[in-house]
Amino acid sequence: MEKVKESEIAEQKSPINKREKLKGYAGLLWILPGFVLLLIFSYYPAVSSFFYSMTDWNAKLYSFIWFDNFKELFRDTIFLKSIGTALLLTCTGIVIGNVATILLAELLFNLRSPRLGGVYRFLFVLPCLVPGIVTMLLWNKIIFAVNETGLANAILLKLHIISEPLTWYAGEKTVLISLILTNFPWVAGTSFLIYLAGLQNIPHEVIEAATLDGITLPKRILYIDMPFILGQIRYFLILGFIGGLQNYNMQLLFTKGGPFYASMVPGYYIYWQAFNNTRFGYACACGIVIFVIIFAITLLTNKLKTSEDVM
Amino acid sequence: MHRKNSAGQIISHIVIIILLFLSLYPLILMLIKSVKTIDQEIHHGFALTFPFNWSNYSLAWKYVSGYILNTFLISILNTVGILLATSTMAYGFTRYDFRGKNALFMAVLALTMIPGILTLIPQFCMVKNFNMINTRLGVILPTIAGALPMGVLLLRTFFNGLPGGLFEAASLDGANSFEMFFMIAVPLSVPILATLGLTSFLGSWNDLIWPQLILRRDNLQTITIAMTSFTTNYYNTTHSYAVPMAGYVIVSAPLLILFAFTSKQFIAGLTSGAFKM
Repeated sequence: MEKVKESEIAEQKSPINKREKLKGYAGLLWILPGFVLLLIFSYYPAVSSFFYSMTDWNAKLYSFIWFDNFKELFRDTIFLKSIGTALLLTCTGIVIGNVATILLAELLFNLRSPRLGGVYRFLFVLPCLVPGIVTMLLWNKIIFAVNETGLANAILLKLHIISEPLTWYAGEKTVLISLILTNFPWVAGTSFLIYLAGLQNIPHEVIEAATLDGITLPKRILYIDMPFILGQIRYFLILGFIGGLQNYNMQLLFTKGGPFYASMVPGYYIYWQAFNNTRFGYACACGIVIFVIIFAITLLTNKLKTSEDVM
Repeated sequence: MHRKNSAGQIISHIVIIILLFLSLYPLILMLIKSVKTIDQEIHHGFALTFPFNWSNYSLAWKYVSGYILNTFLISILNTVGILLATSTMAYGFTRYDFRGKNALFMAVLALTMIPGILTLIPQFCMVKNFNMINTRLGVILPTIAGALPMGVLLLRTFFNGLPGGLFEAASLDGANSFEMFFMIAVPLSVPILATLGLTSFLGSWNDLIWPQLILRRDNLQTITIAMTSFTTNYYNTTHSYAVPMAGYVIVSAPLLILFAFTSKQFIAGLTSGAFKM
């Protein structure tokens, strides 16, 4: 950061840049194409979303109904429950996902064979390059398939843990746990690489000194490694939270929020109200509530952010 | 000390290999199932069976090849669009000074606080009003707009770090603004552009919602939409997943092969970007 500021100051001082400054408004020409796109596809939709949330818009006609949508949705048990479901899925997903990836990063970090480490890294990235839809279909149709042709059912039946095949995504009681278990053991992808990079940035002397002092591995992980990758952890927590709360891929393709709304999340509820019930105004109102929740959380985390700039 | 820890090393390797096996198992299963005949699948659903029935692949290829092309087209158009729009905008924000620049930048930055869930419906109606349903443009434009704020933030930081002297020298030599952009800013920013391009490409490759909303016509559909109906329809008529699995292997292959040859740059690109934000 220091360097950037210095060069900026130097730039402003030099006479040549003053000349550039004179034709400064040419900069707008560089900004304009993107900005027009933002005006049409980002600013206008965002603002109109607030407007439409106070109407009974059905994609063609609308009339003003003021806060009726909001009055309705605060009594809408499906919507309110969907927020709880999304929070549950997101929070458990974040915790197990990050614990698992940090564990993997630690394992790879402590390996003493760089060649094998490289091979492992390569192989753990592979699953995230397979199209997401293929992974989702594999879990739906093969691993968590409802009858005994499903892999999970076949294994559990063989081990006599269950006597009847489980319903997984199709059961009201099992759908949430199935969604959480999807992608077990939750380590593949690219986030472990970022944790690993964070660990590799720890100064060698720090770890060496601690090792000479006879620190145990768990203690080292807790007191040295974790503080050093706090920035990464925070980054994934915020990103995971914002992304998780809005995610409804599985609902859109497979569960449709069911059975009996058990897997309904706000994202899919909005989609469903708009595109199945043509209640676009009501869907916008739901979107506003989710926006407020995400906004509040983001502000809160920014406040919690300590003075030192971790990024 | 070396000897003391070697037991730990072995345990580490074992745990990693178990995790690896569990992570890759769905893909291994996909490969195993993709070469089964219907009969083999009924009797030995999860085990490797011989002989391999390669004809599944030619059957699946007929179905998926068009969708792979569509997905590639959308992903590449998205990526090029995002790179062009973000780099020009970030260039305007770093190389120029004018009144209201910071306010404008803050306005762009503010969009990172707006979740996609809030804008989805008005955006969709806008695409519809522009008669862009069943056009690739209808998917691409909202996607670029969605990726712009974060991309501009990322590139602006990088452009700010470029040596100002180079631009001065170029302008002394009479280079205009376009030349400086294409001859200095872009070549020096290849690593960050690669990162942004890579994440944009992967994002579009896996995107579900926009293609599903906009590309209703069969000849435009991407693999995300097509694979689901293919799997369901095929299973309902034959009670077998073998051919769909071959299809999955085919649609997974392009990126996996690309990764096999460029994994070093790939991994570097994916890890370097996140922490320059």
